[in-house]
Amino acid sequence: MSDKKECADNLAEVIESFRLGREGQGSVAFTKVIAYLMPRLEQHMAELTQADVSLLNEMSAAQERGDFLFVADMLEYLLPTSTLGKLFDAQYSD
Amino acid sequence: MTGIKSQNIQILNERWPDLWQTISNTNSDLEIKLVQDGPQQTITVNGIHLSSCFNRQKEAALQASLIPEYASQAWVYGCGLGDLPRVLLQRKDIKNLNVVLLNKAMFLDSLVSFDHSDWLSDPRVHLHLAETQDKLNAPLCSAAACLQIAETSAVRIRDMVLLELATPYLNKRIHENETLKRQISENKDFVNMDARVAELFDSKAKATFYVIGAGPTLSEYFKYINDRPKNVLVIAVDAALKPLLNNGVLPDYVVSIDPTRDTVFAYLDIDSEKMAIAPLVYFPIVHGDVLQHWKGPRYIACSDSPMYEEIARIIPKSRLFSAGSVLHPAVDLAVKMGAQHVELFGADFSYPNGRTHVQGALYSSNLDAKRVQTWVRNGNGEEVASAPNLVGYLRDLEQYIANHQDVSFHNSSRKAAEILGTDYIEL
Repeated sequence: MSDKKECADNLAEVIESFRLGREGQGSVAFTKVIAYLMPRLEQHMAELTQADVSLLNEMSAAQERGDFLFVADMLEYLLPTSTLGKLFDAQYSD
Repeated sequence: MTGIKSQNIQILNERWPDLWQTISNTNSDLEIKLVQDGPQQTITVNGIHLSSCFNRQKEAALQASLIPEYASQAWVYGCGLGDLPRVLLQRKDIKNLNVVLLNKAMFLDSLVSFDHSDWLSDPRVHLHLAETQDKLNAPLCSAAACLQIAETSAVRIRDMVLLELATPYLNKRIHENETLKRQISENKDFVNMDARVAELFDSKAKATFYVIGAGPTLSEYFKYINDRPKNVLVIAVDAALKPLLNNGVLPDYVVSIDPTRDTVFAYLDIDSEKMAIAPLVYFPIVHGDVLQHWKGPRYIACSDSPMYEEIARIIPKSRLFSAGSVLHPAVDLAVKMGAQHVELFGADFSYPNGRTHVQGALYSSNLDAKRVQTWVRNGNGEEVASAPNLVGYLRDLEQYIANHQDVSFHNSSRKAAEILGTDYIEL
């Protein structure tokens, strides 16, 4: 399985797990998503917009306070349309 | 009073007057806000979104998917903004929908801005308060954010819901762990030659057992344990062995279910002739080097976990209860040996005094504040730091105790997590 496909699967798992109250499972998958994202972020730092940075910060803050449905919303609805989302070029499973 | 609110209240008052009386008298210091961080409105409770703000219906449909398609009854823990009960009531097969409120203040606030009248007025709906629930019912689902904001009286049932929701994933992780499977397979010789724990069952009818965990509060009870009457038996978990020996306590049995070689080797690396007679009760996932090194007798046991399916055919009567914590089989061993009274020491399921383990235990340290993910109430009614896995173990033990009403269970320390079904030893 390619890294990209695996990341897309992990993203879908995060979203579903958080919406179902499976916080542990969602957090493990979220860690894998971040691990995929970080090196790509470093490579494409110059392309990121203020909105992308805000989105990242919001996600991190939401995760920290246990606001898992909002994290799921950001991943499902805001990430795909952001510049950040293009780094994934991820196709979510429906 | 707005139209929505009055309609909601009218239905609640007509259908559940006593329940409504309780809800309406709720006071709270929750910070509740109506927000629109996306196309749809929702509520935040102390900063936590109660539902999706993009597609609440799609989210509710996903949550409802945990209820089997043709189920005639379902349990909803936390109703959120009503979307989840609403989705389930669309199913004609549903005859009874039980909705358990996990936060009365939040529900009360949502009555102002969100119309709950449709699902509340459905005759199939039965509304419950969390504090009236002493066990989990199935099939279940949850408006997940309600689990994050459960009020104090709902914490126990909330923990049980979280555990139930996490169980399929936890079982999958264990089942797919090739290292664990290999370790079990490599212990076949021990399985064949060692005594079965069933030989110990019913051997100590009506006895009193001290079951010793490795929690921080154990350090306050070494003298009490050492001064025990001669007919009291001590079962220690592996991590508590060295602290006990260092304080002059010789356990009668030691229990280990941990697969980690180096850790358990360190726990049980005892150079003492006295320990040569103490039996080790173990699950076949314990590393072979540890078993080889143990000087005393060995008794093999296993749990209901699917990873022991093959072993269980060889030792069908040697099952001990385990839901992840070594304390579980230690307690079940006492009960199956015939215990009438079980006293628990170091069964903390939390981090009292900011410590992780009893002084002298291998991984005893001060708690890293970043590790604090959750809290439980101790015997003094105070919040004490804990971890999701410890809370899960605690709730499983409580369920076990509830299923063994013929045994009396006693807890030693009020500084540790309160264990439902136990009273405190008067020292």
